[in-house]
Amino acid sequence: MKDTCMTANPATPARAHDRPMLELVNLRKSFGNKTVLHGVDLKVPAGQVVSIIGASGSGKSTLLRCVNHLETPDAGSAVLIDGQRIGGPDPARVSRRDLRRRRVEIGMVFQHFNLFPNMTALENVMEAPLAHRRGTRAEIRDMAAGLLDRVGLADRMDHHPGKLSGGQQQRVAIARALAMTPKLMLFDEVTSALDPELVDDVLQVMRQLAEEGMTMLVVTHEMAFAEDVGDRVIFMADGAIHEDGTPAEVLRNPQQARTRSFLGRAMRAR
Amino acid sequence: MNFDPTLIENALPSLLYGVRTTIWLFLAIMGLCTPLALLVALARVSRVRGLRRAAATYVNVIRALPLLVILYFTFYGLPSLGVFVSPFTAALVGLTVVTTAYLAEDLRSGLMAVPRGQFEAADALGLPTWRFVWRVLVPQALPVMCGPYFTRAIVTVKATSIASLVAVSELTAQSMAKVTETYRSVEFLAFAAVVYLLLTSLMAILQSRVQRRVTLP
Repeated sequence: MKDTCMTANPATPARAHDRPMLELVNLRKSFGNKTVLHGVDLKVPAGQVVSIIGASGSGKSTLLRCVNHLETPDAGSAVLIDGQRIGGPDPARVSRRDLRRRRVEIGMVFQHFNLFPNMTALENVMEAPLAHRRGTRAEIRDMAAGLLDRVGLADRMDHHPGKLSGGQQQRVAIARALAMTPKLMLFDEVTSALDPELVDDVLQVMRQLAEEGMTMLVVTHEMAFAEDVGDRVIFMADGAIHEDGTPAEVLRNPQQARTRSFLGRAMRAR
Repeated sequence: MNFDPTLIENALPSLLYGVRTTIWLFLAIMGLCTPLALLVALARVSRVRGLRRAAATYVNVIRALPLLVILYFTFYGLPSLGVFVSPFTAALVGLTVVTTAYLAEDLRSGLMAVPRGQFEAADALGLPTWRFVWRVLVPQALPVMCGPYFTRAIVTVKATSIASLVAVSELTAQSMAKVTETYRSVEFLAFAAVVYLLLTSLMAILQSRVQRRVTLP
């Protein structure tokens, strides 16, 4: 455990079991006539690191994107965080302002970083807190500089994303997501677009976050990360959760044939 | 010798008046249609369906009509509807309405070039729409917009000559007046051509300057 905390994370493991940080109830999503999520239920206690694995097209990214309404879940679903809904009872009818307010409590990191290329690393991290008036410009600048320092990029603050490596960009993206002091972090295949030698720096930052007690939902192909850092692994197939357990249970002793065949392929690929 | 430069010299005050009118008309059109076209382009990529449709209708209707018909409408049509404006204003309104529609399409292509991921990142960070537009969307669209924008400006410099048909004393009108007066065409048309060439070249120079400044690092 690091002595300085990267974020002011209000969740403590002690509260983990009385109230879930995130609860998905019967989450459904279709694109046209293709159903991507068949009513997913999921409870994530505060401080838990959940790795979501599965073949492409299994619905894991869509699940993640439904949590912060980048994809609007279809009717009949509800997403809760710390006791409060993210969307309303009808997810299609959420005002953009309400959505904005709830979204800042959820940080998201993307496969392709999606940094703002017209801003420096520091400006990228400062942008959301400035927009939400989280303090004076100087305070926000110091906070952002601190975050970049924690992800190992103190000397790259004034660089534009175009001048940074993929791994550095992804660490800036993590710092940018943390700048709003989220209660929950979503990671959508954040190392898939990186050269192998750059993956470790990013995973190291995520490991550190996990140690600090951040609640994390991690869609990943990094089985080693899922095993070492995750508290829990979820295997998804055909838009549903097929297996859910500790990393040892799901990765070492899968109960379902589908999980076994997926893991067999995933391990061979490494 | 057929070309007599003294003719131009003698007509210079009148010709320069035309040059001044052309420049003013051009600057007024661009000054008005730049912000308007940006708003129309933003409406065309908006999440609000009503805005998208209204903007698309405007662009498609205006593009379907000949420029001269629109100018005749603002010049002859508006007074018959009880709106009396000077020829300059009539030409300005007509040309602005038309240029805005075309420029909006030019600018929209720039907005569309910004990757989806930028929208998603801004959404995930909860950036308010206008903040996203001014801090993320437009700065990233500028390098793509730059070329089409100045091309449209060059087209507009030349399009001001059509205002001569609705009694605006701009460069073409003043030159043609001298042609009629002196029965000599080459000198005055050459003068007009050189001035248009200078103005459009200025736009081309400006374009390369601006392009350098808006290119992403």
